[in-house]
Amino acid sequence: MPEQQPRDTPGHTPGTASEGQRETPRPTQSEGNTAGTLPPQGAPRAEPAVVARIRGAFPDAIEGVTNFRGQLTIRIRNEAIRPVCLFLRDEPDLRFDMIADLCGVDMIKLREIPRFDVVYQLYSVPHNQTLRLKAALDEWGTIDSVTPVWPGANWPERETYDMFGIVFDGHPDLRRILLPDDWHEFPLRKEVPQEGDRHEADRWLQKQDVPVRLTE
Amino acid sequence: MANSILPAGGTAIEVIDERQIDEAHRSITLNLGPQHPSTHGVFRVVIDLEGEVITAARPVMGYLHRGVEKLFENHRYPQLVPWTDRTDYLAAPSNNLGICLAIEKLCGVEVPERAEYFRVILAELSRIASHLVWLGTHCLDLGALSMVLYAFREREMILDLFEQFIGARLTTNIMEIGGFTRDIPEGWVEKCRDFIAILPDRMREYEDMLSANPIWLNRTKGIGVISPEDAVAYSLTGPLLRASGVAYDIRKARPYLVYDRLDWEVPIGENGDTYDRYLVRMEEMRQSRAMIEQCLDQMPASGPFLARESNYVMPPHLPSQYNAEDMQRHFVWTIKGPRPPKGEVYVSTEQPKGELGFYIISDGSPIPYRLHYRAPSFWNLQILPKLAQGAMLADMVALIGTIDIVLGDVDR
Repeated sequence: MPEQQPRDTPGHTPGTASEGQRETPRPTQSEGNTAGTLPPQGAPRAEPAVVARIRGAFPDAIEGVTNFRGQLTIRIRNEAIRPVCLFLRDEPDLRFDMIADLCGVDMIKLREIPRFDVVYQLYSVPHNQTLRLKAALDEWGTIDSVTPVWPGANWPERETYDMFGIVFDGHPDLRRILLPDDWHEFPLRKEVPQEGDRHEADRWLQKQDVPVRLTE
Repeated sequence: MANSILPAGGTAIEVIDERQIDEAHRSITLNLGPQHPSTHGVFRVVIDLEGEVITAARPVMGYLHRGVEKLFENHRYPQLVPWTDRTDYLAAPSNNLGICLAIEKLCGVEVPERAEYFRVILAELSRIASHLVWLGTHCLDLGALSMVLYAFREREMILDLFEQFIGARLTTNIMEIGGFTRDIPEGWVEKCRDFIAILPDRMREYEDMLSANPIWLNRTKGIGVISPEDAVAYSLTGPLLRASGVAYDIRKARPYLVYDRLDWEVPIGENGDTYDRYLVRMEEMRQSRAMIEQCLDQMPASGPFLARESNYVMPPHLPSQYNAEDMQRHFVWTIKGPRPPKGEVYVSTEQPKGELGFYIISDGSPIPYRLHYRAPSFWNLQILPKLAQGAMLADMVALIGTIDIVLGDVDR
């Protein structure tokens, strides 16, 4: 099954990296931002400025761009994630100097391979811009840690390892963080049931549609 | 090495010359917690000590891990709101607001203006309540034992307001997707006005006790300094970031609800030490009070309180008790749940402790495919090992207190 491609809603303006909290964004403090300048009304659908900047520096790093509810998601090739993050952090007109969130996603029910996604929510304090990056990796693959780029990614990466078993290359201290050190599974993987045994969970996984369970 | 002295009529006591202790025995490892009152929950720090100076601190957490993200993935969207009460249980309405805004953004639900004003009132009340608990317990940690009684006195009034509106005090489950299903009760607004009328006096009382208190100043000034660069690099948010002089408040940067219509300021500190964080939180309580006052003035007296009925908003309660079709509609909606469109959103709100984010991936089913909970306490706590290095052991409780963690939020 191919990856979900969220359709653009007609209400929003394409080409902005800013995150309005509603469909018709209210004016926010976005003077002086250059990362996501709004194209004029009625202009042809242009590529967002931040996408063009990444494409200029790393021609083959971008695998796809989606825009849903005014939020921009850029899918980055696995190997390019750390150079792209460094670029986004250090360029004076981008300056994504804070990582707002980092988490993993088990994509096993949405596509064949690769199995996992790692999702990065970036924020630029000087330009008041948000941006979402995604990178995929296989079940036995690894991904570069971004802790050398943002020290704040340390514990979230440990948590992602704890919950999914995703291995971050170059992480200073990749251990379990919330679960005991000798825990036997990675609980947020889809084959692990909320309760009950694994065989029951396997049968549950084989069902394609998520059932509405009346007997819970 | 050790010489023995014989007191008159007693047994021999071995006196150890401290200069003779070898290096291996000079440093010790100490466990702070998990059962320790000043860790504000079940939280453990393994501390390496060189005399009284901390050389390394290793936080150990997870004692309260309940797997809320797994639970989120196994419940329908309207069932998610009560789970958020139990993460940061000191500011449950703020968490309810965060997840409601995220689901509404995913579904494209427009909330009526009156409900938006009331949501701001509840969020700011919960901010004051959370900061009051912080103030009381932080002072308790540092030896000012009486402060907690005063702080909890005012918090009690806020919890009474929650109780009068929804019936619960701590785990409130106070709002739903699309707004509120019940109206503001009779006399609630007057009671709220009474509370904000007395708050400035009460806050002056707190400051009389603390701001010129030499013990308080000695224990907070210059302790746990965070530079603005570190604060941003370590992804600190909330009062912790603003006390370091970075004026990032999501309510100003990306206004949601009606925050852009209110007149208020973002308080920021200068030095980034424990004392500045105290000042910032006190000022935030005043700003929250001003916001509540403006909201009470501007809020329409009557009008819709729940979004227009759609596939995503619960059908009204009352007709379902008289009318068979309405009852069926209500039943089917409750049992099957709404099916949001396919897509993904990340919605962050300014919770009392920092940025509260919800990242939802929807595959079109009534259950979220993935829902990540970005807990402010967990991210803020990362700075603790860096702050503790080189600090005195006695300051450790000040450092844990100033970060303002709730272990339900750290461990989830």
